[in-house]
Amino acid sequence: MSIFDIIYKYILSNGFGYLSLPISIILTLIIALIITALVPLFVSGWIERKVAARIQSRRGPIFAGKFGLLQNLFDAIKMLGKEIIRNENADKLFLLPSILYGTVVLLLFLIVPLGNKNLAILNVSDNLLLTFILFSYLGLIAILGGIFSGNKFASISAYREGVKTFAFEGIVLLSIFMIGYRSSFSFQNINSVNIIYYPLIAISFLIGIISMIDRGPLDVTNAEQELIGGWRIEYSGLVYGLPLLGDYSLAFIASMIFSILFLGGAGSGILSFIIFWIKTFIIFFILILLRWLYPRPRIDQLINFSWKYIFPLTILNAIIIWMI
Amino acid sequence: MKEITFEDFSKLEGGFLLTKAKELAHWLIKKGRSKSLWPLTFATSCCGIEMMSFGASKTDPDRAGILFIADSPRYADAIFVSGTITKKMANRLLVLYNQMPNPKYVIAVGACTISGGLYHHSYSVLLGIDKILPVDVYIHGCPPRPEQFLEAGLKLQELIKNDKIERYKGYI
Amino acid sequence: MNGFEINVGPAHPSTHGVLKFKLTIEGDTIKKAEAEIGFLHRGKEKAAEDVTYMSYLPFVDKIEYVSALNMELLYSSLIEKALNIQISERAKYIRTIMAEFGRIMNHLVFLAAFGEDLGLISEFFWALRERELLMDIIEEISGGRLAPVYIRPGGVFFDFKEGIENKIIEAMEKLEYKIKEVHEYAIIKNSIFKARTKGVGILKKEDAINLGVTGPNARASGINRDYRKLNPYLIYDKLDFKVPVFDEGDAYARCLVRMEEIKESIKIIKEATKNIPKGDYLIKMPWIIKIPPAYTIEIQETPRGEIGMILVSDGSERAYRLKIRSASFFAIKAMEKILEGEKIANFYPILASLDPVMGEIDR
Repeated sequence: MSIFDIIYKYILSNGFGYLSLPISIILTLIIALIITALVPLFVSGWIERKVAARIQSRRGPIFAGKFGLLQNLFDAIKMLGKEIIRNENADKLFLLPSILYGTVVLLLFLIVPLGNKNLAILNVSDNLLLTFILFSYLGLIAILGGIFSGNKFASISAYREGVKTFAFEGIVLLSIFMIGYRSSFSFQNINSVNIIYYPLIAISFLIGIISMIDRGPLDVTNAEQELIGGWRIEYSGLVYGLPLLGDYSLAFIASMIFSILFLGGAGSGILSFIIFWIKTFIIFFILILLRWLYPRPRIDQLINFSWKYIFPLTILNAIIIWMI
Repeated sequence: MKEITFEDFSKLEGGFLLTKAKELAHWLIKKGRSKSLWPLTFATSCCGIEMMSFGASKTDPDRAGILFIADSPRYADAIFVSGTITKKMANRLLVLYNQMPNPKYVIAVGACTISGGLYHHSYSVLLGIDKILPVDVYIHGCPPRPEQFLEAGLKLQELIKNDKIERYKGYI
Repeated sequence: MNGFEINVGPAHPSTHGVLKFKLTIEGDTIKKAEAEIGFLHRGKEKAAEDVTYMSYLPFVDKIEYVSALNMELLYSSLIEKALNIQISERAKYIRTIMAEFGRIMNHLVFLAAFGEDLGLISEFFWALRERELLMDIIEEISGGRLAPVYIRPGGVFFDFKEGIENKIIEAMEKLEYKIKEVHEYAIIKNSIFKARTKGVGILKKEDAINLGVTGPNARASGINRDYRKLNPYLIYDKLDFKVPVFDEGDAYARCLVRMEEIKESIKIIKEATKNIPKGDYLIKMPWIIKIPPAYTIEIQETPRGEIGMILVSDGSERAYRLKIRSASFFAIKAMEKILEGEKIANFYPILASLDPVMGEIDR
């Protein structure tokens, strides 16, 4: 059961006949676009700005709408009205990586269950592997963006992204296989509280996912004071806004996935709906704290850390549970 | 590649509904531009230290939507030119200004950028930046207090909302 | 040589002023670095030949705009030495307190820029919040925040009012608490900071002596030299304070030296505030003064190193020649030597740990 199924049954039972399939596809896409736009503008963007402001002993936006809820919306409207400038050395396709980024975020919102087992927008089997493939696409998009831009700083950032992929993707893949082998490879069937059996794998999954979505203290390739934005350095206007809002959404999606895999999955019923969102917001709060309270390690220290400390812990946990 | 703006949209003529829709889009975009202004982090000398204090927590510009996140000129909307501009630095400032996308606004901070200030009889200082850039708001002081920066930011927001800046009249 | 040339241009995303470096890189290491300065040359030494001695005071405190009180103290001591004037004891105590305020404010801006360059943006906000505490007191005493023309030849321009000493001691207690609880844990004891700054940007002791580096940068490389102890001026021979010296010469040692100096300055201010004698605070001087022909030198220890001024006067009301020897000029030359063989990811932390100010380099 998924949202698409609910809409299709409702429209079919109202007697539209042959037209009910296209109509339900269009309605589902509209709902998906609304959710993809709503979450970074009103939910996760607002929370992140206000909590970061309170850590730095100031208040966040308070004049745009009540409690500053409309501030990110005004940012998006302003970005719609700016010019898009192309460099002479840039490739003809230089806007493509940014549009692909937005598409990946939309696809992720289509398959992750939003609170309840029956509330995913599309019900796809083997959700977990598809999610991992989409996350590793983000690294590829960053490399393409760096090479197409025609700017020296963007090329340096593309090389660093290629090296960074080597650091954490293998560990995240290993963690996903452990969980999938034990419970199931699809989000709708994971029911056990896996953090009791796999505590070390939970920690390494969290650190790996922070590094794969280019966030927080592990964003060696973009948004650093040194490389002024990395592969996004030549974008302006709406093509800059898409990765920026995508960053806010990806953190939220990562905390949803963590709370499904390790803290008890998405059940059915109203009580588990409320508890699922409470768990997600707690993990999201932890991600915000990690971003604003820690400095950034260097790229070779990151690779050192991941292969010498995190990887053995993961293997250790897997072997212990396999023997018990 | 040409500019991708809404210029073609604003040249359409039509009846009542189309005019009302154009006015609504114009009002919405002006309101959005005025409520979120992202200045470029550019500072040369003493007024730059007061700009750092302006961006810090006591006078919090994030309340009004002014967020210092734009490190590259392609992301920025406005530029607070603070500090003395010498003749050697002037053409780098012009290169930075040309890399910013339209619409862009300029605020001149401190006495050195209005008319040369304390160094008006020096051989190497550009006497006022309005010789090379179109300035919208001037801030006086040597150096001005951080609260004066905030007042200038709010005044620029008012000018944008009431469409009083000459070169962007009717620009969607 | 083969390599890829990159310009780290005059406009930086961080707060270091207008400085251009041309780097030749190969892979991830820097092979050669060349600095280009002069983007802020305003002609300060020539301006001293155009205006009279007392009218030059607003120019002086914009030479090193982060800690302006120390530069005013240097210029006023120079004029008093040329005219052979002795100032009162109360003025000496007040001048010492203001000089140490300048030192703390400079090191707080160093912490803000250093933390932000390593990725911890919150440190920028926390260090500048502490700086506002001190600026409130300086504004109450002298009327200006960043450039108060307060220390003049003859003494200080306003007297300390009743009750200001209690406010100073209260602010110092608050500052000491915040430094111990917040900034030390965020910077000195954090393991990611240590991993990023230990062994990075090493300046050896012979190089520091040959290139003329002074101040906290030299004290982090093992040179035990502080002009306040070598040749004491004001009341530094009566006070009891330590000079921190470390041996390694990397970026971590330079940060540690400045943290310890903040704590020592807090001790000096508390001790001096409790014992201010009563008396006169200013010797009235006319607005236009003439200095007989002489050759006067004055050197003092500012928060960046040793700065010196040489005045050549010829009996008229304007100077014949004023020369300023700045301290960060030599630090930039030392940076060209440090950068050979370093990784490119270490460029901004090394620049931030040497703490240059462009107003003093270009004059």
